[in-house]
Amino acid sequence: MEELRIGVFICHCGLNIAGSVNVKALVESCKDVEDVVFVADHRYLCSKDGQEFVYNKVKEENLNRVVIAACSPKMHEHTFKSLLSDVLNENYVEIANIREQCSWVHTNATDKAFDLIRMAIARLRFAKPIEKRRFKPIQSVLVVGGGIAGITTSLDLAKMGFDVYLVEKEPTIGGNMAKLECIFPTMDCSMCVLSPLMSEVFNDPKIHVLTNTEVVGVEGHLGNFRVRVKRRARFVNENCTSCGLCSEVCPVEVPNEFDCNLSKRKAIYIPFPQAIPPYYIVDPFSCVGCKLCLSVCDPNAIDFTQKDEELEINVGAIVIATGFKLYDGERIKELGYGLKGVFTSLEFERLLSRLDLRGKRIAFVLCAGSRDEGHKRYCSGVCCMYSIKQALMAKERGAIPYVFYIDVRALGKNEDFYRRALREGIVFVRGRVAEVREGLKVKFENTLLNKVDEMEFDYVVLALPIVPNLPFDVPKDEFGFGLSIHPKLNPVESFSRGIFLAGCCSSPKDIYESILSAHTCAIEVSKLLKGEIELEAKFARIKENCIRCGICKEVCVFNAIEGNVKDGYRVVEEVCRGCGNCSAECPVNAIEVYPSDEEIFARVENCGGGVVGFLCDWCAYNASDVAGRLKMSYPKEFKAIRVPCMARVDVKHVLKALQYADGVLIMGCYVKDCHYSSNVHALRRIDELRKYLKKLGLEDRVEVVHLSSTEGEKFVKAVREFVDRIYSRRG
Amino acid sequence: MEMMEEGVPPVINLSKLAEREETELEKKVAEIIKELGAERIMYCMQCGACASICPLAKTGFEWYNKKLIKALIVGLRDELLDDPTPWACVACNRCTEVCPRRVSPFEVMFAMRRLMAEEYAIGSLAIEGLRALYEYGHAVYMTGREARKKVGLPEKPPSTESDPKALEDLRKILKQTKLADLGLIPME
Repeated sequence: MEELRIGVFICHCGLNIAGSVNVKALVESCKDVEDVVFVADHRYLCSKDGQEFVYNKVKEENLNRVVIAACSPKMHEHTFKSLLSDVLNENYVEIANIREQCSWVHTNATDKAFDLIRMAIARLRFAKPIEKRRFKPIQSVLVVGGGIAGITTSLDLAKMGFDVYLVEKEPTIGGNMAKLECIFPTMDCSMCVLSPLMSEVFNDPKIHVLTNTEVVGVEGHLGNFRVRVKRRARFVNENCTSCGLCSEVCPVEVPNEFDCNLSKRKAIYIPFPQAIPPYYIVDPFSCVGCKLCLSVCDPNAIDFTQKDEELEINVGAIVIATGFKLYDGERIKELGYGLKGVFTSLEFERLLSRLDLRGKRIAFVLCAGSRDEGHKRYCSGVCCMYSIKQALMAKERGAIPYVFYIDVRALGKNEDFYRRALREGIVFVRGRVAEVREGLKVKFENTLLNKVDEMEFDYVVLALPIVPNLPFDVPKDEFGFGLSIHPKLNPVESFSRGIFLAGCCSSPKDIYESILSAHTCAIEVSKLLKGEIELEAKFARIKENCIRCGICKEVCVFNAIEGNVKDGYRVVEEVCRGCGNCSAECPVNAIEVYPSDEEIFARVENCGGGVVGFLCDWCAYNASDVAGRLKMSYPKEFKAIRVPCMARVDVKHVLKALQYADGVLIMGCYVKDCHYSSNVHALRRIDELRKYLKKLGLEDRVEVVHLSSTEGEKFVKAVREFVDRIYSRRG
Repeated sequence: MEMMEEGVPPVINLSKLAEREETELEKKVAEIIKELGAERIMYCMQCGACASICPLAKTGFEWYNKKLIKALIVGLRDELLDDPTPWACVACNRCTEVCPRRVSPFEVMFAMRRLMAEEYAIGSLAIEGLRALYEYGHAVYMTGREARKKVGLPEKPPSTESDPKALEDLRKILKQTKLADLGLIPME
């Protein structure tokens, strides 16, 4: 092994650090630490002058490990790592946070600063170089679902230069939007806006439209997915001119799914005139095989020899845009679905221009299952608006619409649309309808007047909840919607790397929001696929002493571990995010992650007593920085160790810490916020540990605190209370 | 911080509007109602679903389920004590079925009955029922013995009436209840 030549650079940060740390004394102390060959201080290390100083000294003194004792690594870790990137591996540079976690929050902080530097030095002794892996992702994308979201994202991606495979289960693209009469708030004809986009998709040489096709399996990982799709035979080839003669002679009539089964179609049919691809299709389940259609087809487009085929597509990323379906109305019995004249909103949309609505009384029942603990707890988000739209359209056609609502949720500019409906004389009744009876008697209370009433209607339209249509194995929330990594900051990326969620499959959305999310998906995909993918090298590695118990595979949230008892287990590096959960769970310490066990032990052993805090990099570490910035003091005994996630903290780390320190604080995100969803495993392990500690009378020496990255105040309070309790101080 | 289960924030506490003098002994009436069994009263969003199917509302009783919940949340109490509505509830439980927030308006009705009983704001008819329950094991006193005899049934039905042991047990149970503390009826 090469000889260690550690250099320590201590920053004054003006008086920010030098104000409460005796830098000169600190330099002298550091010189005595084993393996340290060079120590220097500087007024501002981050300045141009300071950076040059560090760079030159590292070269001159031939240093192979460097500690920068300065501000929080969140500020300048990247600066120094990239500064030294051509002479040192990034893992050989360590920041000792002696500003936010030391000089700003303590007085006479020289001792603690020295402890923090010693901890940093100790880690460097065990640091292993991090190898970055780069690879070129495949420049094509799979889009699942050909609704408005899938169409939008496909067009974007094709324009950006990617090959797009647009897979659609139905015989045509268009999705639910194609079924709409018109769209709010502009009241445009839906098909008039949609069909140009559909043809654009069809004519784009970069987009391969695969209709009548379903995804049957996904293998591989970000940058290189292998997707198996099953393409059902259409029995009509590209020669079809959509003349429609075949359909005219076809003797079979079955309900038309596109029309919510409200009209009839033939066994050879086209779902709607603007369907894309513009070819007829034979429904093999209703076709009787008379072949009358063959005899009238002039261009010889009908081909009964076609077979289902399974294709494999190789793509770099996947966008899921499978949209929504409506909740089953039968499940809300009291609202009368199934009675004549009671429709779902989508059925009514199809019927609007066909029914004679003159003089008809129509009840629009909102929240018919949404915002309902017994059905779907969430707000479906779009029902208020489309019901107002349908009410306006019905009114135009001479009907008398009533809208029964709990709250009209006309967000943003939609309020104008609501006002328009009020102006045009649509009756809004505040009161949730609880029962619809035969004869379409609707029972309600006008809650604004405290008046219980019953009225008869000709039609009742139920605004049923929007439920996800997600036949895809991605992490889901309790309602079955696809789960995005962060609902606000990262709304379209799923927990599976390289898989994105567009449109209604992740939450109820109107067309506008669906399109926004589709554009976002296109941007995220192109960000990922352009150039090379650099894998963060902080993934887990399974070592040879693995006993093949498979626990790691079970606990991994990201499905990053593959294999079985027979062949052993392997980390899929492209998928692993390096949370460290598997390592902490491994019964034989066979999984190495960053930071390694040795590195954590080294820090603990050199903490110089006091209380050790394991801080999650996402939240608690930031919270400690916030506390520093606010100069909120807390006891000096607290010394922080940065970990990628609470789940990285192993029982053995805690036990080790208890050998060298008087208490251990484990601080991480709130369970729901965990960036790896692995928090729960950590909590379970710590609970188990507590049981043993209890027998030793030490259970109060270990505490878990949940906080968010802004909660500096909570951080300080927790540290203060814990340290004071450990040392039985009052105050 | 007053967080409720499942992370649902409490409905804006309208009791502030009523601004009652609150002493240590006197809790907010909604709190009492919660303790008396209607735990989710504060989840009510006044959608009116319960009212639309409530027989009480239909027959013109003043403080039917939705209104009663509102009144209790606002903090009315003395004003409600003399009202007969809770005693008229037929316990059909339709409101519980249709409530989108699982408030169980029926439970509120019955919690209100309990509250009223504690305040002795209880109708004489109800007291008569309780007395009969203690005396004979039936809240509604059995009639029609002649008719039973005529069709060949034993004069007394196979209930507490023909089983003194069961009646004794029932009385034991009743003595363990709040009823005994309140002393609404004589209990030997």
